Amino acid sequence: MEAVLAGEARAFEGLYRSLAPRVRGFLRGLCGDERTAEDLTQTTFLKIHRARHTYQRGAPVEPWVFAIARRTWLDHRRSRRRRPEDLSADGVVPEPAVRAEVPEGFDRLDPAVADALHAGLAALPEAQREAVLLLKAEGLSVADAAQIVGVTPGALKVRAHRGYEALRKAIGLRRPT
Amino acid sequence: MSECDVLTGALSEGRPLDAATRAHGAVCARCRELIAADEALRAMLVDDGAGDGPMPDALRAAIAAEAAPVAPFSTWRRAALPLVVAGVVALAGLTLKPRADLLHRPRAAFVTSSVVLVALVAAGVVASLHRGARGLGLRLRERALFVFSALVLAEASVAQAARPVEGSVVLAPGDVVCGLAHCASIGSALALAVGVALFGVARRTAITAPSAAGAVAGAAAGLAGTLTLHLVCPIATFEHAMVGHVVPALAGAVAGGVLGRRVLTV
Repeated sequence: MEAVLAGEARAFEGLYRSLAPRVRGFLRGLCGDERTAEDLTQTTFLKIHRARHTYQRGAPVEPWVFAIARRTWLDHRRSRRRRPEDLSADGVVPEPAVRAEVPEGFDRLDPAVADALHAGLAALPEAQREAVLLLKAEGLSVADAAQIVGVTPGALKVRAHRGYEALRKAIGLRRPT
Repeated sequence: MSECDVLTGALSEGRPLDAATRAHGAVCARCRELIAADEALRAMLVDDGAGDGPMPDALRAAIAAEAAPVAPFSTWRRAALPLVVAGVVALAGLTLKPRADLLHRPRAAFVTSSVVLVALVAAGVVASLHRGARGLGLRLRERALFVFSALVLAEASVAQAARPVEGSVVLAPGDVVCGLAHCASIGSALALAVGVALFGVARRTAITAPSAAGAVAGAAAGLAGTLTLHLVCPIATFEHAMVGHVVPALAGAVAGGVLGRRVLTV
């Protein structure tokens, strides 16, 4: 990070290579669309570069990066609500983005389970979905994830637990008795 | 709590399983299914980087255009500018137009209330800029708590100056609204100078909760207006002091909350 703060392009590229897949996975889980996730990943890294002076030396990088990624998603969602269709330069409504039927990673699973998990994840309320994504996919601690989301650790645990239960139900597993 | 509950809790929070829980998972059929499902879920969510290429050219060009080294963010260094502006505004008011009843006010109470307001301005400026222990800024709850307690303390501070003493101006009932609007607008204008300085140094700092960060910054700027009014306004009518002198802080918090999302966010 020291080299990134010093403005070294190569160091930033290293940061991109190490974190972009996880950021993309997180954003894809939130937006459910591969192309949007790729765009938001690039926007996130541009923001990271522009806000690099706010990184606190010695602090873990991941929570800072994922907080910016989440902010990028929220800004995107807000602008999409205000302007649901982007027009092309000639004023024509473009074709809708091609939505990946089964995102990357699903092909390693049993197709029925993958479909059920995909549908279950998409059906989760957003608060539960981002809690599951931050804890499960990104491996952040409850404390870090809670601060990124802006809730107490207890509230985040409840969201993650409910989301996790819903996903388990989606693939046909019952809670142990 | 049963072993099954412990295992379920650990899986839902993404915690690693300890040896005892793992041993239970090996013998309990239902928990074994849960662990398998959890692994499937993790495999689904984690992007393995397949197809991940180098940084896109457009992003690389944008990064290269802004590749200058940056100085580390220092809360104290950045806090200096808005604090100096707040100090200049308050001292200019006190020097140029001190309140007419200043010398007749109970000294200890007036100094204490003034010090409280100065401390609130300073705390608000620092709270707006502070990166917190994890580098993500203060927590949402801490920011909300600051705004609420700062407004309560500001009310308590100006309340003691609402008792008339020699030299005080007491408004007739018909003049209260007019005087209140006068002080509220002047206080808000004074707060604007501090707000511009504070938002200027705090740009792109609110990694999380930019609205709440903006509310803190706005409240801090408004409190600078409240402090100046406290030092210059001789009107000792209770409603006037309690409303007109605290409106800048309240309005600052509201306006800052709206502005924060646009100005402070990364």
